[in-house]
Amino acid sequence: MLKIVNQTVKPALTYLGYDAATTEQIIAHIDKYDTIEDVQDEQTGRRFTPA
Amino acid sequence: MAATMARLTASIMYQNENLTVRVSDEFHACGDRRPRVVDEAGDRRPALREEGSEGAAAQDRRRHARLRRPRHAVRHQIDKWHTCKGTGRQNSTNPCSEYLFLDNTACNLASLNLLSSRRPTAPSTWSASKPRCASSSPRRRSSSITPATRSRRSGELAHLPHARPRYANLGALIMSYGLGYDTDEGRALAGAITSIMTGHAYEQSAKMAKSMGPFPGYHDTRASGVKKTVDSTNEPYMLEVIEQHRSHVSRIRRATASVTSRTKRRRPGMAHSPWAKSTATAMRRSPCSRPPARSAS
Repeated sequence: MLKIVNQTVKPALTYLGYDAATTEQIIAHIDKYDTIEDVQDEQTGRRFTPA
Repeated sequence: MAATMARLTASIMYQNENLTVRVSDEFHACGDRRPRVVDEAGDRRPALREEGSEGAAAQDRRRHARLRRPRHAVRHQIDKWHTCKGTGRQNSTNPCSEYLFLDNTACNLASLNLLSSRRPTAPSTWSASKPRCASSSPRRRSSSITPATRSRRSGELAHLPHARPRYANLGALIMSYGLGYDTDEGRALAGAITSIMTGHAYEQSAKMAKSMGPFPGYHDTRASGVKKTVDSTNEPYMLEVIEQHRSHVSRIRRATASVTSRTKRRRPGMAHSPWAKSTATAMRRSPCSRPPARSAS
């Protein structure tokens, strides 16, 4: 089945103060795992926070 | 191939269907107040009594005593917001439920895409939606609804009061501001937008009525072709619903006030909650926050 990450995630994260790079990482995580609940940096394991 | 088709069919199945179910206020109240039962699918659902089942009346009495509300003061939300109660019941909607009115009536729909009015840094989204709503001048609007009123069975369609403005992408708009759908903030935002659009729609309607007279069904409840009507005029019901809209504005304002303080607590870096502030400003300008214009009659 074709799946697309909800297109409003990006403006929402931007509004909440996340920078572009973090936003991209979060969207990539949602694309891969279908959830935003456990989102974290793949390398460092740290949780994202608004800039 | 067959399996692929089955998957495809399953994935788009409900995108081409419009199913409408009318439920009562009692049913809605169930969600908050009534004990839950676990059904066969393992979901927790409100314990619904079966119509006419034994002990139903006793259950009703207990429940209403618990709710401390008058029973059936208004039977359903649909009845409560019906502007032409004098003509008769609203029996059904169109299949997608955008339109709910008397039998054998129709209207034109005009949708405002809320995301197109959204501004990235936000403050005046709601005042932005206002000019859109108002820009359909009475003249333009009347010409756009005239074909509908003149179409087949014009006698029955003559009741048609107006084109109906509405919005699209409300959920996405709420989400784009980092709010949850099922939150006081989200509901206040939705209520504020709806209130402003409703107010401006009625304002335009009143302007039209001033120059052209109100729609036929306003004074004559039989205008839609209904022979046996509830009342002779719809005027008091129409004004009553506008008053309901007005009184609900104050409830939104309270919700917005609590949102403002909560937002400040949660995000101390922000001097104010821009949308909450502009919402309050826009609502003060909204005709909904003024008494209904009697000149509409």
